[in-house]
Amino acid sequence: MIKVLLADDHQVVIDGFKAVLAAEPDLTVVGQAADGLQVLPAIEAHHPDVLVLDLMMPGLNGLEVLRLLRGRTPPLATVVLSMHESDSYVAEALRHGASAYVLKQSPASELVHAIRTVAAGGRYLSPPLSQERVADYERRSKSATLDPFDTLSGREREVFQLAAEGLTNSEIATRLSIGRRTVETHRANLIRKLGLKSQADLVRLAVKRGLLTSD
Amino acid sequence: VPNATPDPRLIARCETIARVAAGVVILVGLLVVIGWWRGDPRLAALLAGRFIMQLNTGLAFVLAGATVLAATGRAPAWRFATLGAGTGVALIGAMILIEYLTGWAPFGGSIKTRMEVETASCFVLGGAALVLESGRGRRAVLAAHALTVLMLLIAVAALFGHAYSVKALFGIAAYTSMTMTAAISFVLLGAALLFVRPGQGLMTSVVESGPAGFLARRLYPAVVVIPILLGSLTLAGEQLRLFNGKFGLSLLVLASVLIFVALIALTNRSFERAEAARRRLAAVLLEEAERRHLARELHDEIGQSLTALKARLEMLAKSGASDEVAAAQRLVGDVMRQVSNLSLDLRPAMLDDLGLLPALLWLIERFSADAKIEVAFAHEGIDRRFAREIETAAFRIVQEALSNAVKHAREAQPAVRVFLRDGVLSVQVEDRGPGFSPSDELAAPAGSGLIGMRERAEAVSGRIEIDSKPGAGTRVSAELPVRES
Repeated sequence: MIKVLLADDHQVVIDGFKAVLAAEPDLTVVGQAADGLQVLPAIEAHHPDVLVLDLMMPGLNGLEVLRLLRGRTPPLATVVLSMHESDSYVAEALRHGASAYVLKQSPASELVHAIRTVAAGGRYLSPPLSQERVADYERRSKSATLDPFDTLSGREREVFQLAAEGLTNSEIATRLSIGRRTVETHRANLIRKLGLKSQADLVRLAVKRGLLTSD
Repeated sequence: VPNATPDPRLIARCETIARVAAGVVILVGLLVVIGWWRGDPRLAALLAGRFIMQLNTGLAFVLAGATVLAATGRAPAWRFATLGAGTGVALIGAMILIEYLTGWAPFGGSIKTRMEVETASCFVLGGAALVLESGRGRRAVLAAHALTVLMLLIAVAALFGHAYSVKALFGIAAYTSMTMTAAISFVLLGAALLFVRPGQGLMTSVVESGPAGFLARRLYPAVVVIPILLGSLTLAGEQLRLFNGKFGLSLLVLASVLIFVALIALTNRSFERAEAARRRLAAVLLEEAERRHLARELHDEIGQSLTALKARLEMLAKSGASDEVAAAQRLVGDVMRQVSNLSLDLRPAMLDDLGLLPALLWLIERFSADAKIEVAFAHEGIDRRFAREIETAAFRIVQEALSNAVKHAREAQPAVRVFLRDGVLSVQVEDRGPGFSPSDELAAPAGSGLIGMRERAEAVSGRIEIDSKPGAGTRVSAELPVRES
């Protein structure tokens, strides 16, 4: 018999899934929690085998509950039950230690399947979610080191080009029909962004970028 | 609503003014001291015209100026320096005053080296103000500013006496024994004393970013400078015999009325513009709040009820009900997906729950899928939480710029870059679409695309650049300062 604890801040949802789980001979709902803060005391009181957890609850959200459960021995298998289909939520839930992620819009039989799977030590994601999608999300969320030149704004690029051609701030201001002080600000910003030290550096970068012919 | 918080740039500017004014005061004092020391009072006289500044006056100016300069430093040690030096300045003035009143000169000062009564009074006031400003209390600074204003009044009266050429024109000839140089130095010292504590005492509203600060910065200087300037012009006119006294007076009155009416009209117009922008921004923020509320309501209330309904239907289907129940089940599934999408369209929940990066990743994937185009996305250092207004502004700017980019052309090849560098969150969206002439777009009604982006950026004290030329694509770059809490 698998003992299940249901945590969701919506009583209709708890009642609905209770009815679903009650129809399964090998599952029994031993307790429930109506917000994040009630989850840990409920676990202490009922010793469930599987926790079914809503991701966004008042008090303490599901992610924080997962983090608190992390160091537990023996580990408690957790099924996250959520309406959020976005990979960001799935990735966050798995990163925080969830074993399964089930969408509320999927057939309820998936929850039953997920509970049995994690109770046996497995992992489960509701289709169309998948490990590949989560891995792809993790890859896309990795911070890249941007090419400093790409961090310039449009104006800064124009000022860069003209400065590399050897124009003075006043000449650049006239050419772009902006104030000289504005040009000075753009120039200071682009020098800081590109980590340049001198006019020679600036010209060298412009040549390397193909913005200036080296003759 | 534009906030009434002190603007750090204005505070820095005020401190610069204080430093420069104090520096000039020190310089004047030093010149007097050097002139005295080299036995060449003409050096001091050079600055003062026919009046000669005294040695002790020069020394007191150097001390007072140096103290204000020291007070712009933030180290706690400066507080004691300010306290000590302020007391010194006040004592110099007080001893001279005592000598005038009782004839008692503790350090054997003679008539020759004695400074004028007004000068001595000014030093007592200025010194006391310095002592009070070394305290951090609100009342202390207010009292210091009150003393400073008193000192300024004496100095300005002396200055007028000189400027209006001591002919008893304005009945203040009695004050002109203070030298012109000393009077100007006291005006500078007074300015330094006021500007060294910006955002406090009488200077509270001057550095505010809200409308009160704007009014203070525009009107105070005008009210002080314009009458003095007009008075001098009238005087010059009379001296050149362009007109006589009464005619000059009527010219002065007429010119004051015209200039102040024009000033108020100009100020009024800036206020109307600011008010219109504020109203548009308030509308944008209100809409955002409503969207958040609706999105939550859809997701939390309707969505959860549908979840429960679905579970019940499933039970019904299991107990051998008809195909009708299965159809109803599918229908509920569809409605749930629609509700979820609608909620995300209004305001993506991950923007509040998880932060900017997850929300942007979702947005870009969705754009790529819906418009069937590849959106290049690069980011650096944004896998963290920012203030909610910053996250909202950055997200909405990307969303708006992207939808503009893909509106017209599939071949736009939009690229999005979001990165955090030096405490500034930068957002860049560029495309190779058809582009437009920015003046056309900016003339568009309020709340539409580009104006909305600009307002979002300005609401968080950021700035935005929108570069586009017909045929050359569009590039939006916004820079939003991140206030670290």
